[in-house]
Amino acid sequence: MTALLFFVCSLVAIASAALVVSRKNPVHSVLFLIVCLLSVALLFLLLGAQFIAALQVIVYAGAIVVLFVFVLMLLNVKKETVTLHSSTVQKLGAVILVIVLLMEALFVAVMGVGWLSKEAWIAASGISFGTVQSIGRELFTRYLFQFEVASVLLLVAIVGAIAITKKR
Amino acid sequence: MSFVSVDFGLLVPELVVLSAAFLVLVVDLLGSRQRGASLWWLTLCGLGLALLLAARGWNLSASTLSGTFVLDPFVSTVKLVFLLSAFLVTLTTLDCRLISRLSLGEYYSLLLFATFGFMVLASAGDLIMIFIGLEMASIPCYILAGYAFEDVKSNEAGIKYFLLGAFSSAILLYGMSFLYGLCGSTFLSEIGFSIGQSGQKLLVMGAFGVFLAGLTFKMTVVPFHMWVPDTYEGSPTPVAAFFSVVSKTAGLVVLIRILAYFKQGFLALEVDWTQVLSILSVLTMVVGTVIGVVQTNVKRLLAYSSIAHVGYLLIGLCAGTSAGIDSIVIYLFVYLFMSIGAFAVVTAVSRAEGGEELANFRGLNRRSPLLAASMAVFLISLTGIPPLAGFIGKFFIFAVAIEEKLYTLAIVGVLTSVVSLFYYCKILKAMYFAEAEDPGAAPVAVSPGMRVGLVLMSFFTLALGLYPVPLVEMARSAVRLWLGS
Repeated sequence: MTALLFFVCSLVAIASAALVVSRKNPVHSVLFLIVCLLSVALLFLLLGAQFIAALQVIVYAGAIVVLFVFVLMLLNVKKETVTLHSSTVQKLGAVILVIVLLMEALFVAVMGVGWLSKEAWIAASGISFGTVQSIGRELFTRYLFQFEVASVLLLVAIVGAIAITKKR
Repeated sequence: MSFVSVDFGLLVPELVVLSAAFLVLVVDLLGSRQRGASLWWLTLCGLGLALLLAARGWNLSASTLSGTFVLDPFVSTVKLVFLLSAFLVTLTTLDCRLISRLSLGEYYSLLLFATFGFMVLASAGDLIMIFIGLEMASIPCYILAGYAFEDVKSNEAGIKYFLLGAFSSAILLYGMSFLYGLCGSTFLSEIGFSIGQSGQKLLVMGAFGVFLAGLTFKMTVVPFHMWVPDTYEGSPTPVAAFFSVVSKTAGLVVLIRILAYFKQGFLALEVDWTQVLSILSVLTMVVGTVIGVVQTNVKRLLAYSSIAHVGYLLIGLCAGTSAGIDSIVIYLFVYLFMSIGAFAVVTAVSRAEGGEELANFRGLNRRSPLLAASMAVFLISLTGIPPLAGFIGKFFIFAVAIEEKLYTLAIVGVLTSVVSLFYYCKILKAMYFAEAEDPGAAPVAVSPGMRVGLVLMSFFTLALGLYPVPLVEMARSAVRLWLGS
């Protein structure tokens, strides 16, 4: 069941990533980007990295995509104005890079480099890295002071932002 | 589940500064119309209290928060430098031309937050603490640099400082990530141990080199000094004074402590940073002095002078001995009074004149002889002429250089000091021998805080020059206690 979900999510991620770059309408691209980021978040969740999954949703799918949409609305880009000017050199470079990347992936998959072998997977699943519990425990015990200082830092940033923008 | 034990006793000075910052924010919100003075007093009291507490626990050597927060006599001494600078800067703040009196609440609290950050940075025992402390110190500094919002130059200063500061933080973080990757630990002592074990000479050199680049950026060492003159010129003058002492000191202290932690590791790998540091030192002294000669804006001139002084400080680090670190501590205390003093006089004159050009200083002796006299004391001390404190600082630095056979550094140091006399004399000449444009101008108005600050700083610049024994003793015992433990 998990394996099936994993493959579905991966496929959705790849397909939506392809759609992000192939859509002519930038708003559609951004929407597909959300789909892509969410499916990657699901992948993290399936791998047991709950915290990273949550961050993926909040930071990337939330904040950053909203920023994209804002910029698009501000610039008011029409879909006709966006035409891809790509020279042959660019296309050639892209093809070469894609081939290199695929070779890399193939190499890792076939040769089973270190961390991809069966034993490594089992060892990795034993580590509770990236779960909410483990990160929370670290943050509130070992890194307590740093965590508190970071919260003061956020306060300073807010005070500074208000001080700069305040009307006089 | 185990909780870390926190020894709050060691954190008291930091917590006092932090609470003062919060208190200033709250009082600013709730206070009456005439709250400006109370905020000023609150800031001074907070800093004074922290100063007393830091001085009281001066000879403590301990660490807490599972080793991420380290306190030893050397760190405490440096914290005294930070707190004293913040105190003097606050004393002389009210005369600033660019800061409107309405928004002083945020100004004081940001100053306190920055001081807090620098104190955390000095005490850091692991990479995460270094980074958090650095950001805690830098972000208020970016805002303070651009604090005179209506002034275009101040905005420019803030933006430049922010962009380049963020850039250098990223570089620093990049170096840190390499160090972590190599050693699997963020603790400085463990990294120092395992870089020796790793045997990866090239990787260690690259990682530490990147780290060093990030740090020297903060210290305004020469290939990374481009932002300094613009930032200092545009920032409100008291803020520039704060930068000129505190941010440089912080970078230097982190470097000194990291080199002490990594010493064994570097020895095992046969990596020697003395050569690199000497080159940086020579470059910093020469560029800071030579470009300073052609400046006509007094703030820019002082900015270049502060760059040159970092070069002198680096000589002490190149020596690599405990005597070298002694001389750095002595120099820091001496430099603190004369640099903030010189900037304070610029603050006062620029409010009366509306600018900081050399021409604004013409005939200052006629108008306000005391102000001119104190500026003369600070400038002569910055040059390093006896019997003022600057001489003592330079004397110990050059003595260490000669002891360690770093003759090139000593010679370049002496020569650049002579050249620097030329540009300090330009200000002296303008104050004493040039006729004022408007002979009937009123004396420069000076607030009581500024008056007290100038008297204090002139007094210490004179006193430490005439009787430096207590300072030298303190520096020696601090460094001995630190390295001995």
